[in-house]
Amino acid sequence: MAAERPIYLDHNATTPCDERVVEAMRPFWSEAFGNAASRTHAYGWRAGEAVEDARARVARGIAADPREIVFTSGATESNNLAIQGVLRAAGAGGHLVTCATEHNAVLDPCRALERSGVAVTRLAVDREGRLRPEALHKALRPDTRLVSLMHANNEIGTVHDLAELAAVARAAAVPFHTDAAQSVGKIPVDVGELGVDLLSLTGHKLYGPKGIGALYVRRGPPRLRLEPLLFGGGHERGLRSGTLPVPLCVGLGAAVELAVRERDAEARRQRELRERLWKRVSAALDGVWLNGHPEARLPGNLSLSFAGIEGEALVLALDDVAVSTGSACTSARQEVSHVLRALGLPEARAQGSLRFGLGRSTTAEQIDRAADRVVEQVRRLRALSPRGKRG
Amino acid sequence: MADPAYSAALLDHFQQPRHAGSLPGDTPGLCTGEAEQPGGGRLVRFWLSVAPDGRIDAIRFKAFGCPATIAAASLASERLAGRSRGEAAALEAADLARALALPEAREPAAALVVRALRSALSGPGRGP
Repeated sequence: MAAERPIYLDHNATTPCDERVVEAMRPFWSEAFGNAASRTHAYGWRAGEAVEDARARVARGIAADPREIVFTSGATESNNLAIQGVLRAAGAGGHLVTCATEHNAVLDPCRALERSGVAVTRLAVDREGRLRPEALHKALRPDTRLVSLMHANNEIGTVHDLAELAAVARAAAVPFHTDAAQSVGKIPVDVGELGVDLLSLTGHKLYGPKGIGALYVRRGPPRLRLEPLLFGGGHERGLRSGTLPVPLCVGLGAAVELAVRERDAEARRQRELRERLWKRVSAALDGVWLNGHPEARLPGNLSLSFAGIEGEALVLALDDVAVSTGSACTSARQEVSHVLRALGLPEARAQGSLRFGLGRSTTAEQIDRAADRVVEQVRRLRALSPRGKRG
Repeated sequence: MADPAYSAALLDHFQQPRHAGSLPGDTPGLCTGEAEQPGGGRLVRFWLSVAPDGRIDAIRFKAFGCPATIAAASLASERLAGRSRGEAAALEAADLARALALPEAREPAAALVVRALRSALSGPGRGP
C-alpha cells in the first residue's frame, strides 16, 4: 500500500468539512449549546438566532426566502419529505414521474410509494444521460401529483436542463421537485430561475458537515401541501419535528455561503483540471470513453470507461488514488450501476467505469500523478486481460 | 490502510500476479482452455505446456474480472506449475477461495478459474 494518503478524487461521494465551516460551528457544541426551541432564556435565544441566521444563508445561496427552508438530516431525508410528503398529502393513489438515472434516495422512496399503490413513471435518458422535455410532457397524466428530476447526476455528472423540464410540469400545474445535492455550490442554482417547487440539498457535498441538509419548499400561491415524515414537537413549521442540530445548521449555512461565493472561480479551475485529466489519460490510452454529457456536466466530474478491464479491479489497483466505480463483480454476475445501465452503453464499456470527482483541494500536480497512475494500471490490467481493448 | 474487503493473500496475488501472460502457439504439449461468466462478465483463459509424462512444465493465464478473479487465477497457476495433470484436475474452487479468504459472494470467481483450468486440461491443442 501507498505510505502517503491517497489522492482524494471522490468529491461526488463526499467532501471534507471546510476549516472555516468547522470554525463557524465551534461555539455551538459546548459553549452556545442551547435548544433553538427554548424561548425562555438567553441560551435558547442565541441558538435560535444562530439557526435563523444559518437558514437565511442557505436561502440566499439558492435565491429563496428563509421561510422556504426546512432543515433536515440530509438529501435523503429531503427527498423523502418532498416525494412522500407531496404524495401522502394528496391522498391515496396518484402518479409520479421520475427518471431512470436518479439517485437511490429518490428511486427508493418512489418504489416504496409504488408498493402502496402510487403509479410511477421512470423516464429513460439518452446516451449522455439527458432527458427530452417532450418525454416529460408525454408522461404527465391528469392524476400526476409530482415530478422529481435531479439537477446534476452524481455518477456521470450530466446536468439536466432543469428550467426547461420544470416549465413542462408548471404548464400542467404539477409540482416539481429536484434533488440538487450535487449541484448547489458547483453550478448556479436559483430556485426562481429554475422554476422548481421543492429542492433538496445536503451539507457534506459542499464542504459542510455530514448529517445536515435542507429542503426548499416554495411558498405559494398556490400552497404546496406536504405531509411530514416525522411528528413530535412541530419544529420547522410542522414539517420536520425534532430538536435542531444547531452546530450542523450553522455549518450548513456557512458552507452554502462559502460554496456559492467561491463557485464560479472554483468551477473554472476544476473544469480546467478535469480537461487536463481527460487529455492526459485519453492521449496515452486507446479504448477510453467519456460517460455523460461532454459539456452539460458538473465542472469537477469525469466519468470514464476503459475497454478490457473491470472497474473494481482498476479501483483496487489504484491504491494511491481514491476514486469510485459504477461497475462491480458480485456473486453471480458483473453488476453495472443503474445509471450506466440507463445510458444503454455496450456491456464492455459499462464494466470498466471509473468516476473522478475533483474538488477544492485538487491540484494540477495531483491530477498529473493520478492520470499517470491510471494509465499505468490500465496498461497493467489490460496486459492481464483476455478481452484486450475490445469496446 | 488496506481495503478491509480483501485479504493480504488476495492483494498479493492481485498486485503481483504469478504466471500472467500466454504461451506461444508452437509450445510443445500446449493445452488451452477458458471459462466465461454468462453475460460477458469474468473471463479466464489458461495456457498449459504439458510434458509427455503429464507434468505441467509451464502455465500462463489471462483474466478479466474483479480482483478475486485475477488473484484466484494467479494462485491456481502458482500451485500447479510443475505439478501433474492429475494434481491439477484435483484442484478445487474451495481451496482457492479458502487460501484467498474470499467472501461467499466472490466464490464464483474461484469456481470460474477452476472451470477454465479443467477446460484446458480436458484436451491438448484446443482453444484460442
